[in-house]
Amino acid sequence: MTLTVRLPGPAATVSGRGQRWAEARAGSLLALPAAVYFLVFWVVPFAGAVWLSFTDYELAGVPAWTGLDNYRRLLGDPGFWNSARVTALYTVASVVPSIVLALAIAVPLSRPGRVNGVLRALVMIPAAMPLVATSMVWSAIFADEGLANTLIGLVGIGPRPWLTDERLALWALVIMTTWKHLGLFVIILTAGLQGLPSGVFEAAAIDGAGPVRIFARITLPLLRRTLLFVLVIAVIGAMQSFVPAFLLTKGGPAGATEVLPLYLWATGFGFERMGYASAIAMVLLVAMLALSLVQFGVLRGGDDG
Amino acid sequence: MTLLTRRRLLAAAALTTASGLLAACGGSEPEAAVPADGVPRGKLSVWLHQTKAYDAVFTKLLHSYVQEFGGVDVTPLYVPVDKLDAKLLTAFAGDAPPDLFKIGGWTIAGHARKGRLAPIIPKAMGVPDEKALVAQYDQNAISSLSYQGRLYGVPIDYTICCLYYRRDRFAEAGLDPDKPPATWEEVAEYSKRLTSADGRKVGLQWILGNPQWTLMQLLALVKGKGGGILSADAGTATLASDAGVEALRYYGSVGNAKLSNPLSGFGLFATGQAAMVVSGLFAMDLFPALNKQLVFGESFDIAPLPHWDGGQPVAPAYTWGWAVAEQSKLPYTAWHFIDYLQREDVAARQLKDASLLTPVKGWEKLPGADPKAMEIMAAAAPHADFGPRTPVWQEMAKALTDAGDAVAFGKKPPERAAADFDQAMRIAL
Repeated sequence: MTLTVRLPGPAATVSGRGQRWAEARAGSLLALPAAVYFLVFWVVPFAGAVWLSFTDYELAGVPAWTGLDNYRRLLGDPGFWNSARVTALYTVASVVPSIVLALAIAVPLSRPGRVNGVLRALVMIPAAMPLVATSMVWSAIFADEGLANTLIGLVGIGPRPWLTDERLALWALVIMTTWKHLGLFVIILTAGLQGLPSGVFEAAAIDGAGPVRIFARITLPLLRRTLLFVLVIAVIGAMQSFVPAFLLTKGGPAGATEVLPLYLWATGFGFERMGYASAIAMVLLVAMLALSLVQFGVLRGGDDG
Repeated sequence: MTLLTRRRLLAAAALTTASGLLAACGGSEPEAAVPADGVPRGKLSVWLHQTKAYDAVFTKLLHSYVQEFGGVDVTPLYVPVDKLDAKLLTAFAGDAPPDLFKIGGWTIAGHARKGRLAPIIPKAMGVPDEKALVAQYDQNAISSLSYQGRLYGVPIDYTICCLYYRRDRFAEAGLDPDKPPATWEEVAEYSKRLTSADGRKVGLQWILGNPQWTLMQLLALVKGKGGGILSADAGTATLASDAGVEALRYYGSVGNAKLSNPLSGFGLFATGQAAMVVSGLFAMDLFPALNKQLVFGESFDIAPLPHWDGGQPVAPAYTWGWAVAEQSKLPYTAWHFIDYLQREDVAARQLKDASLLTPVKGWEKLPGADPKAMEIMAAAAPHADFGPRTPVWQEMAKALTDAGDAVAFGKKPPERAAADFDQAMRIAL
């Protein structure tokens, strides 16, 4: 027995324009929940923060319009500039080694094989751990009698006050966040590497190119878009980093780890200067946007395959 | 007869729902501030910071109050001390504060200025007026809880700073444990002798990174030199002066900022790494709790806070207070419950069981506390200094901590740190 399905012709039901209208209406209806969500939880708070940044609002009474006062205040605020400097250092120090290490691990792990599959799963474990739990684990590692001092003791270095020395504390946070995010970057880069066309590599090998040359001239250029994605999320993540500094050092010692989001939080919820905190948030946002645009400009144009 | 159309039915349903919602949002009218029969009733929520010893005392008090005044139910929430301010703030911002709460006296001005606190109700406290209530307390302590002439809290957990020292460490270093340093110059001298070659053991260790303790420590040094942190009217910062810079220089010259302990100087004192620390009455219980081998009078002791040689004594002090939210619908009951917590027999129990001093008039004679501690505090009381009273206390204390820590860690010279503090305060004040 043969089952025949007859599809109705366009002319038999509605006109082309009518159908497009019906599809548009259905599409709009389907998109409505997401649009409402976006409006309520993104657009409205964002617009509110922009407006607050031009006001004096102390979590009581009505915000008073102050124009550009909050932005002017930023220029002369030593706390803001210290935090901006710490954030810049933290971003560079955590993003560069994270990506370099992730790439170094991803290249061998992207090759097929059961062992590599297991290793890829293992490397993801830190990324899957909650950041608060990770911070607690690392506070134990960096304690006086912790693993960090035990390890450096093996090579004859005396114990270090990792979290209470103003020259070490930021690097302690960098080590922790690198460990935490490495797995995610490895997986993304591994996926990118596995998607590259094998023919190009075979041709290069036939032409006598060595592994270093292949990596520099073929792998990296083809991986540009994946690298761009990893770089953008790494930079934004580092610039927004709050939890490690909040839990491990509270911004100390002597402001050495007071990253901008922590300063913003203290300004908003410690000093109750919501208007000023919003201005700091806007500056942070603009800085992140500018950096993302630069990254897009530099790395855009590659093709992963 | 009007037909009940679908549109009308929907409109009626919408109206009913809206009125129900409005009623729910609006809630009932606040009860009269003072009930006609003067009997407290209602369900109170209370927030206070966690301390093992006081929580046990408070829980018993709460039960006995509820038993005595059957119409009242009290729900306590014990919040970690470093989280209480942020939790209260978010509760105020969300229009859902507890009825009453324990609050640092140093934050009263900031909250009162924003209209978050309810002034006291004398009748609920069993007195005819505010003046009569004030007369029941230590003047310094209770006046620190007022703002623009109105009283917003009653004091509890009053402390005047003193010097804690390790008798065992003094003996090891060949110092007489019965002769603690009396001046800051002697503290520096003793500290040299108490500091080990590797710097892992020190003499005096400051409580670093903590705004409240930084303020009290620097207050003693700066004011003892004749200077000030803020001007008398709290309108300008005055740390960048000879006195301020000298105080910061001294601050950076003793202790080892890089010694680590989760409890800062308190923890280092408990382990014996620090031989001296500036602290309050509560530490009498804290140190033996941190280290079971510490026995007051044997392995550690207290002394009056040192002063500069030939200088005026300065006794940094603080008090917590009980306060009531302006939005509370049960202010009378809340103040009535607070009054119960402040009774003299209760104050004695709090002092005995939790080393928590309620500065009622004649607190020096309250039974329960160590006589030596009370004697030292009583002698220092005339010099009690609560520090600058400003609505921007949090910003001031944070900026001062930045300055003190920067000098202690050798990041900035004292002159620069003092100038940065003044600059930060110029923006904040």
